[in-house]
Amino acid sequence: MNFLSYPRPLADLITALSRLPGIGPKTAGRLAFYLLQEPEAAEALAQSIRAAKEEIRQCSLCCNFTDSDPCALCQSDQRDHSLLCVVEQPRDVAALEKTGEYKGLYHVLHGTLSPMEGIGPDQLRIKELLGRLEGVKEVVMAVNPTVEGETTALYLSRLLKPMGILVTRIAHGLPVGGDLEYADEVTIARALEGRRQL
Amino acid sequence: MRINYLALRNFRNYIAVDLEFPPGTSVFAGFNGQGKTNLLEGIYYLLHGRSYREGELIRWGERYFHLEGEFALGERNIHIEAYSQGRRKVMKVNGSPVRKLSEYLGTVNAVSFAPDDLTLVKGGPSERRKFLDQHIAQIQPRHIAILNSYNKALQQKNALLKTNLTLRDKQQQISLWNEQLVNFGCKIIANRMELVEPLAQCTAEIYSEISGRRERFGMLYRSLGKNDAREAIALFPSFLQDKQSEEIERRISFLGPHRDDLYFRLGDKPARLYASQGQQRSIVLSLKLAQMRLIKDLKSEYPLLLLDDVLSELDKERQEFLLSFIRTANIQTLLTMTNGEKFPGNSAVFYVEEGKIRRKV
Ligand SMILES: Nc1ncnc2c1ncn2[C@@H]1O[C@H](COP(=O)(O)OP(=O)(O)O)[C@@H](O)[C@H]1O
Ligand SMILES: [Mg+2]
Ligand SMILES: [Zn+2]
Repeated sequence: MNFLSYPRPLADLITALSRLPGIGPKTAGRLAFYLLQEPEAAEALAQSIRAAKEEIRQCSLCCNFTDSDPCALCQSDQRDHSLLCVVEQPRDVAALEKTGEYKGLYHVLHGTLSPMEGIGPDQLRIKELLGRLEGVKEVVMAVNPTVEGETTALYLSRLLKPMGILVTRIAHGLPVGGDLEYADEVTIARALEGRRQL
Repeated sequence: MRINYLALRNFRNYIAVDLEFPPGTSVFAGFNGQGKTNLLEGIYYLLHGRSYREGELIRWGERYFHLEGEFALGERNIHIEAYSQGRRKVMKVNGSPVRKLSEYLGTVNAVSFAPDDLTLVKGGPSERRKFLDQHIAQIQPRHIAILNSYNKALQQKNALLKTNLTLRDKQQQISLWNEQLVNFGCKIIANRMELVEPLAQCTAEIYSEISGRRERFGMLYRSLGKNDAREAIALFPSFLQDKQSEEIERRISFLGPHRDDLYFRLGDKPARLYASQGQQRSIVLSLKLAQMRLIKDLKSEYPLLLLDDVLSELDKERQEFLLSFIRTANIQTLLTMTNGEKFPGNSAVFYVEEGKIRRKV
């Protein structure tokens, strides 16, 4: 599709949409035309994007997305504050919460170590993790079972163990090389139960 | 293993072809560029979930391809389907989608032999490593996943070595990736060590037969420069540690099973340097037949044999050896030839012309 012949704002919209994950140039074009033909939907979408961008920020404790800081989970006295579960992405928190099995708090790294993408420890929320360890007895690594996920867990366990914290890893009921996001709840629950020491 | 049926849709130069395969040997004859290799490629794709050559699989100007095959293993029929969906490729076995190729590789087996394989002896170590790893994958499908993980860790480590981090940061992080390299690398070495032994023995026996017991073939897997793979496994962690500062200085990692080699010997001479054309052909032929025998020993059935244009590469004696092996063992074989070559006796003949296939009656 040669969208350079489109008016500039339309071409920009298509380019912006096609940068979203899972959306190729064709779908981006379809979405852009739809939005132009449905001004109300376009306005509603623009508003919710702006609202989300303005109101959602990262919790200063767990680094999950939230509209109040600290987030509801971090403030809850129903949760076990001596237990932290480390995950890669905010969506992993949602996946683990669905099981209803886990009673501790979370910490979201926002990625894994990956020198190929220029991601080292400083690019992850590791400083924030180290800053909230008071009273924490156990840290559960619930990173994805990929090479990068495992390496990140290893890095963290080397930092945490000398501090006298029990470091565990959820068991691989999970498909190796797979994503936490897609695993079903039963599998995740079982994996949580079978966590082992790192 | 047998193939009963194949359907190709918009695959390479085929629009729509449905084929039934008889047991025994089928010859696919045609001039160059008519689709003989494309046909074997389609079968290969169903068995491995990927192709071995470059280029677009979807017929030019079309939007998808679709392959379907029915294979038989013992009493069991296995129906495999592969198609493209946009840029995605889907595989289904007996109707269920395959999520990870490594879960399904090895359920069905084929050995293919093409003129490119003849460079195995004189070529670089990477080709022999690839041959060995593919052989292992047919027997231990998880081997592929382990290789992928190892390569991922290696790429990450190399990227780390190229960054401008401080020496301290690099040292701290390299040890993490090294730990992964040791974890996966030792499994790779162990797999290779375990499976190279029967392969070496069986290849040597067959080579001896082909050469009329006049020549002796030997194969040795050398890992990390050691003749004994057990020693390599024991030493790998300390090797990586010892080389760390040198690797940081030169910004490249230079040690590991990704550099291993499979040494071929004739008598006590390295085959890579001294094997004649004919001897090279005998070696590769022996390797392929040994693979067939080993798979048969494990799965109690010979794999499907795909021979692309190789018969004409072999001299009369070696041709006869191969054909009688196939006949005696009753191996289903698909064989491509150029028009005008003499077809082996007792084979079904198909003519391939511009993406159409017609059985000779
Ligand atoms: N995606 C494709 N669409 C249509 N034709 C293709 C495609 N890929 C390859 N071809 C054609 O297939 C032919 C090669 O077929 P091949 O099976 O390799 O020939 P051979 O019979 O010599 O083995 C070439 O003519 C090439 O142009
Ligand atoms: Mg060909
Ligand atoms: Zn929080």
